[in-house]
Amino acid sequence: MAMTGYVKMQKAVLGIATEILMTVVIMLSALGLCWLLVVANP
Amino acid sequence: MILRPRLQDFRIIGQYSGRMIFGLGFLMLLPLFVAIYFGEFDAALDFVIGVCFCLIAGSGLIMSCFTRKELTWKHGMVVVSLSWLLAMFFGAVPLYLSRHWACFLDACFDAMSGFATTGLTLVQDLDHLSYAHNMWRHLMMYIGGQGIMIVALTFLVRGAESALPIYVGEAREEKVLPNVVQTARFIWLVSLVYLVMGTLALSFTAFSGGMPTDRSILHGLWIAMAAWDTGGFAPQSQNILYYHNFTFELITMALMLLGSLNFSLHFALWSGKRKEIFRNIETVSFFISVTVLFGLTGFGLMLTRAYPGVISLFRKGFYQVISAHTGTGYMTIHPEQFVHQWSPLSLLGIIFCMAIGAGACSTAGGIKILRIGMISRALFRDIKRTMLPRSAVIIDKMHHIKDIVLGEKQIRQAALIMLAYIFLYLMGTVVGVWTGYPLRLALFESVSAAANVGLSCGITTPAMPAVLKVTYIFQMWAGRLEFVSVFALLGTIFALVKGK
Repeated sequence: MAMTGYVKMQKAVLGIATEILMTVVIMLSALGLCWLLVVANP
Repeated sequence: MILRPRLQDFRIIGQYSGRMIFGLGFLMLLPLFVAIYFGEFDAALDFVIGVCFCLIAGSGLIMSCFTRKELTWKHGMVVVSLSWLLAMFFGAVPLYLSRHWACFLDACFDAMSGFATTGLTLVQDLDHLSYAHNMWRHLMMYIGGQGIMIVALTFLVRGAESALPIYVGEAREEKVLPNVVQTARFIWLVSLVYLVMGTLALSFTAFSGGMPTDRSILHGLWIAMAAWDTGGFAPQSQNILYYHNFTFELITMALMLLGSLNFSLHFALWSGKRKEIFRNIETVSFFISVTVLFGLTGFGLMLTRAYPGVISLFRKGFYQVISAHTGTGYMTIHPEQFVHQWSPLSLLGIIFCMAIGAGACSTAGGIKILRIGMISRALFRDIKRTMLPRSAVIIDKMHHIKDIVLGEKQIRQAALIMLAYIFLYLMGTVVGVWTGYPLRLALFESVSAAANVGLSCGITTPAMPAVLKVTYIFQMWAGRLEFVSVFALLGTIFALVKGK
């Protein structure tokens, strides 16, 4: 029972980490797009 | 033949509505404690009056409408839409008593804006509003984002059978877990986890920036609540611009993105299905939409040289795009800058972002990216059909947690809701133009209200005509509930008048 609970918590923590990583990727992609827009319009 | 509602129907509706109002009274105890803790005794009295109103009205309705009958679908839909209106009226009482709102209509506007997680506000002198009233504004937003009736489901509803119509009536069609009460509790779990994480991160950032400890904690809590619930209320009139802090903006951006995800997707990711993030039609469609619309908006901003640097374009341009697309409404610019600095092309990009919205079964508003994804796929399928032989059989599937065959019924439902939203956007635009505002600004503000975003180009002020305030209140209400329960209430009123 305790092991099941531990495994569930581990999956949830990894899920949260995945979601936060997704937001970081979106923001970095946006920074890249900003750089392209600025460079393309000198 | 239309059947007139019977007394039994009103008893059921009255009893459940009474329970909701009773619960609202208990929620007002939190800002009351905040008022007492900080010595804001005028504010405390406002909440004592508010609590008394709710408890007396709620218990009066429960006792006078006592029945042992369970909710049916029809009753559930009417209870949801009516409860949201009643929550607006009772929630506005302590706001109006603070004298920071010019009239009761303005207080109702802010209460509906809070519950519907819109973020448009008519408050006067927000910078000097009491901590207690700010706590109530943000609590309304947090509760509204979860769903007022979801709160009720978690604590007040006996059985899952009664709960389902209420759950669906609040524009949540997807059941994350087999039982809707369990689904409601999972939604709360996710919300509380991210609230704690967001509050800690934002409070620490504010404290590191020099804000006193008690203000850091309160501001961190309120901003985390409103960012996660994609609401957009802020404790200062300058919104997120007040903090002048890049880290603060990044954290709020992350919270907005997380809050705009479908709760079914949260469940899938928290259950170990991490590849879902690449396969889900919502995440793929959202990524494409943000990229295209930021490209459009950014290009428009480069035309006017509004933000010539990479970081300024990111902080002012991309921040507003994410705020609009997730339906939050947080701003790192002044509303007047939309009018004077942003080109019509970039304004159009923001309007599209607001209109589309984010994940279904999330805290966000708008048409919803899932419907856009479904309709886009249906369009490509129809184009493919014209190019293939007549006898060809095309089975189109989409992946949303599981593989789903895209049938005509789902596409028709998605298209109908999209049409209803477009009609709502146009209705508000017509009223805005009729009351004297320019077309593009009236369209911007109307879409912001109906899609529950909260970005403003300056139209939403206490000086706004009353007819426009009532129009935006209706738009926020109908947009949040996605029409079905609103039509159910209007249908019941029609049946009461014309029925036999």
